[in-house]
Amino acid sequence: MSLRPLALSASAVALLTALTACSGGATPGADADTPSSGSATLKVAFLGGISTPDPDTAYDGPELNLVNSAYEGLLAYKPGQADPELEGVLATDWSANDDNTVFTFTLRDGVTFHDGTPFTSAAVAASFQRRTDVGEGPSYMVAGVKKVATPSDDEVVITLKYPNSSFLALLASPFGPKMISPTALKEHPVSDQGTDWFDSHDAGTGPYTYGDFHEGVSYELDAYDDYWGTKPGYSEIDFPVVADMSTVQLQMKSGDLDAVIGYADDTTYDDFTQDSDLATYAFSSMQTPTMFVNPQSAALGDDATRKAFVSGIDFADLATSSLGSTAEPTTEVFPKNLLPSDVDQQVIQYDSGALASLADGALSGKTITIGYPASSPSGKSLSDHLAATLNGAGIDAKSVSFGSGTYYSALAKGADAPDITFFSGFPDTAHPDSWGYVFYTPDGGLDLFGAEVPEATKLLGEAVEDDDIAKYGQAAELVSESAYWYSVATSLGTVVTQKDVGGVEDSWNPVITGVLDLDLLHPES
Amino acid sequence: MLRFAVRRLGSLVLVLLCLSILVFVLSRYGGGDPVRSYLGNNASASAVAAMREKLGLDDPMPVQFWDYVSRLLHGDLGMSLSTRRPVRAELADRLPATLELAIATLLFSVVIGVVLARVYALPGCFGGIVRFTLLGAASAPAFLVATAGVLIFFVQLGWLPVSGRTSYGPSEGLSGIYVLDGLLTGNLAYSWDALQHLLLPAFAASLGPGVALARVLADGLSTSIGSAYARTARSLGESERSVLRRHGLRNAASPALSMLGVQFGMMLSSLVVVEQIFSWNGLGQYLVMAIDRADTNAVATISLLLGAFYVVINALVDIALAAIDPRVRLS
Repeated sequence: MSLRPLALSASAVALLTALTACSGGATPGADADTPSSGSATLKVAFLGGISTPDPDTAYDGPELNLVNSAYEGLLAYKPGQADPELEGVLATDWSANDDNTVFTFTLRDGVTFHDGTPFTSAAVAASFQRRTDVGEGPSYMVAGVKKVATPSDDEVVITLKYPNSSFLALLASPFGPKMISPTALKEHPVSDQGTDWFDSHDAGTGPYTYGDFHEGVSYELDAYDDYWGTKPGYSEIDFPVVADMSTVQLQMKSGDLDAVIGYADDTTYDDFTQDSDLATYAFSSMQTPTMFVNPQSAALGDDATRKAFVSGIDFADLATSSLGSTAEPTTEVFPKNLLPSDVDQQVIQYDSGALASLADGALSGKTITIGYPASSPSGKSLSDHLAATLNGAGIDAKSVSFGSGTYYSALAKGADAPDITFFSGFPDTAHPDSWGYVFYTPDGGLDLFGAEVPEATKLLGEAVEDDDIAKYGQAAELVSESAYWYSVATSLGTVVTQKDVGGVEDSWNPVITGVLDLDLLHPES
Repeated sequence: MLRFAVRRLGSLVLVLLCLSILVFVLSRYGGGDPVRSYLGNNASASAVAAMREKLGLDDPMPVQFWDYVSRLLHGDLGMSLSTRRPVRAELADRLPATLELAIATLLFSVVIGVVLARVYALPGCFGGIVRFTLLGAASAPAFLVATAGVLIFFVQLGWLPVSGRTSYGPSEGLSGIYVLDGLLTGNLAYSWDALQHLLLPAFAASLGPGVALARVLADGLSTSIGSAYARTARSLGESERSVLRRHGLRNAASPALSMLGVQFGMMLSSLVVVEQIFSWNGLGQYLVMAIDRADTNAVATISLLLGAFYVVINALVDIALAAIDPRVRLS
């Protein structure tokens, strides 16, 4: 063995680096297939992995940028406005009977699935059935369907098992049922055996089709030439997966990426706004960072202490100092635009001396543990700021992070769970039931500590039958009085693009953040 | 020698068995619940309960362990709940990526180690400055080196890419090691591009181990070259190069090789961080996501795999040590 070969190897590595430097082949913004400004390819970052873009399992958020580009439902919410307004997509007309059990739809003519199959009423029942058979998170949206009748190719009559005023809203949900080609459904039935065909292929009617998917690395959408509507502004959209936000920032600044939808916390977003070469947007949404109080908490389980504690927090200040330009403080109980604001106000008023009294009284010698999911920048920021506020007021407090996989099980530990948690949730759709039932009743799924106000639960159950706003308002009042939950702010959906990407202001969703109607984006001339 | 190798590799089976039990117990008692990550945050309580039952997460622990072991013995690694794909498919995609990075890192470490070993041993003030600088470099964690590399070579100079393994999409070759695949398919531009993507992550992960190796090798060389047997060799007329090759390096290599084996474990840990920074779609990036989402099947498999890597590399190091130093065989 001699040192010489190794020394030569070292020289080779050095030479390689030098050659790389000289080649300029990897200069930022000059990758082989990197879109240049104004090209027909858009490059949008996915931060970290995404769930599989199957229309009946997608229930996270970012993957909807793929799903909702390739699939369409009967209805949707009009993009680009905060006030939720139903619009027909594959249905051109719709109506409901008086007790919200029978819904009739006229279907759009001249629509084809990406496999060439014409869209007719036969697709509706088959698509609903797949969602039921898959049986995952979003399947509840069609669980109440009793019968799907098809009097003709362009008419569908859906009968529910029980009255549900939120059914149209569920169909319009970003996670709502999508229409899938019956041909593809026959060829690729639901299976328990590993990878599903729909994980990487699509059979929808949307403006884009799924292109090359390299799971965890990159995803591609290609424009569908026979799309029934307005042709999308970009012929191709690439989604490279970037694991780290700092890298996303660098690539946005260098022009390697064209857009990042969501993901940015307030510090990152503010940094983007300082860059004059980038366009930044912050749109309203229904995402609502919420404080949950553990009813079994040794410190805050007592009604009087809990109510005094909640009254002692200046939530407007907490929202502003924690979330900065990515949120707006709210005084409403339900997310913005779900209920008229005059029936949806917090009843607990801020008391600037409450925390000091508690520090010397009920909370003396006790520690408040505030938990948050590590994946939530807003949860972390709110928890850290509240802990600092409490410590400043003389109440011992600590902010504790939980991984996504341990968060829910940590909250299920009753008296051993954290005393408080901050969770930034959103309703599945723009209907008060999608928030009230889910967040304020133990069976809903996101009543994180299982707190319950029985009268509110009863009112919410009654209100959904006939969309009774007054009952929702009463439920909101009871929820606020209980001090088990407090809606802290309205999250703003952030979007950052290169300046030559147009159409962003027309493409955002009124319900959730992190998702755009990508077909409405276009190169700015 | 053969008996030594068989005995060393035989212990690998025992280590892996213990590791699998440990990994299972930790993953099941770690307090995680992967179902929410799998179904989505807004999943209803009933949907969560149904999925827990379907996945067998409510079964008694012995039943779950038996299911885990029997699946493992049949080569079924289960479904990755964080990606909704079979763990086997994830490994097929990601293992070559980590192998490519690990091989490059190992190579870089050795090159850095050997080259710096000579500089490290320089006398005088210059040598002191070099030793001080190297000590500083060795103490820098991989993420700091990676960040510095990104700032210098991507942001300032624009020489190297900062994200992913290639600009052209996954290779069409068989190995999944992109640099190699490009060469095998005659696509030199692809290899070149993949190599450019590889340089920064491999350098970031190899600087620490390389410098550590250099220090050990320099110390060993300095001792062995000044030893009595080296003096005897010189007095018998051997050239300085021959003394260095036959006596110096051979004796100095033992501690350096041992160090390399230990450093490999640390290198695997740093690859987890480096893959995350450079969006390198390997096992490290997968592990970070799987731990966050309590994806027990994925965490268990990757832990076993990384454990096996470590044990195999160290077994190979021991065998190499035994080959160059008979005292190891006798001990």
